[in-house]
Amino acid sequence: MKAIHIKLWRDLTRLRAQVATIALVVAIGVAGFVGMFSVHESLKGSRDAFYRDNRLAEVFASVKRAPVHLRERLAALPGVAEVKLDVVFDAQVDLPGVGVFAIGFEAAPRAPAGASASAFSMLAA
Amino acid sequence: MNVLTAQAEPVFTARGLTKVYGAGDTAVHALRGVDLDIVRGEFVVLLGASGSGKSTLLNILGGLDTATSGSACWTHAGELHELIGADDAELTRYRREHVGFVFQFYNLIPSLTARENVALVTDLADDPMKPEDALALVGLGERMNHFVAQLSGGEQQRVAIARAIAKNPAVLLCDEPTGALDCATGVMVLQAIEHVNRELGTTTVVITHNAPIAEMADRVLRLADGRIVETRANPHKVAAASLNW
Repeated sequence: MKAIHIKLWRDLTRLRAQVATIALVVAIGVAGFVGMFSVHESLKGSRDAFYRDNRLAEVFASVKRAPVHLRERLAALPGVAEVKLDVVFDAQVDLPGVGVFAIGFEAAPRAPAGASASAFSMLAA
Repeated sequence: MNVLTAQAEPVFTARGLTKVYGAGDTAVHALRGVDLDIVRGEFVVLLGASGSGKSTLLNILGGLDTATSGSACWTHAGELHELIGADDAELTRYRREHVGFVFQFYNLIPSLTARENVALVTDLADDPMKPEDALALVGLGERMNHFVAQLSGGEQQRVAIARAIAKNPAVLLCDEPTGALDCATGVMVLQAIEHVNRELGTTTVVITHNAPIAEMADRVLRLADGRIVETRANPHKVAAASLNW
């Protein structure tokens, strides 16, 4: 063993308590980072699974006007599986005996002339 | 002043060496145009008071420092090498392969034994002697496995000398080797240096402010205020054992 390595070994042995303490602090730091990284990955996986299982959208965009004649163009976009032309809005409803609560409304677009009244559904919040 | 003899081969040649630390009003002129020639195998003592430029000159010759102006050349294997203007890699190679340095305060590694301190150098050198042989040369063959703290001041300095000569250097530069020692111990250290110079033929330069030590030199260069003010040859040099201060 070279003299310089002998010096290194003896110096580390003499300072073994300090070396062990520093190693422990570094190990705790690394363990903490690994733990946080694992939690982050787990949360991401859970979010992605929930979105996938409930068929939630990956992209949300609000518009002021959405003409019906754009339906075909939207359906032709790559990756679009289904196009629903519904209007969704939030409102507060005050029912006697129940009080004020918030719900979401989903209204289908106007039906062509001669068709039955368009669908109007409520999604309770 | 140039006292180079016709037959002697020069090891060091310096011309117009100048070293200035700082600038402007706070500038310190450590060397003011030093001319110097040191021949192979010579024992030279640089004598002078504190602040005369002795250590600065030695550090430049040893590649530990560079001059502000002038030239300092050393000759090896018939080739001239300029020290001023050499880059860090060249100076490092020069120091590692050709220079043995002995400092006033030893600079030994406390966690290593005497033999291991010398081995630090032999592990790096191209053609070193064995650490045991170097220690035997300075009379410490029986103490090589002792740690630094287990050695006296004189023994520590002799370990430092052994470390300096173990690489078989071309030159041995000693900066106040007895500065931290009493007279009796200092004489032992000087005997070791004298022995190395005589037996190995190593060119030796010793810095001291202690005038009696100059009596063991082949030549004495006295410095004052950054200049060599006197050069004196010693035709009848005294053995280190008979020195006293």
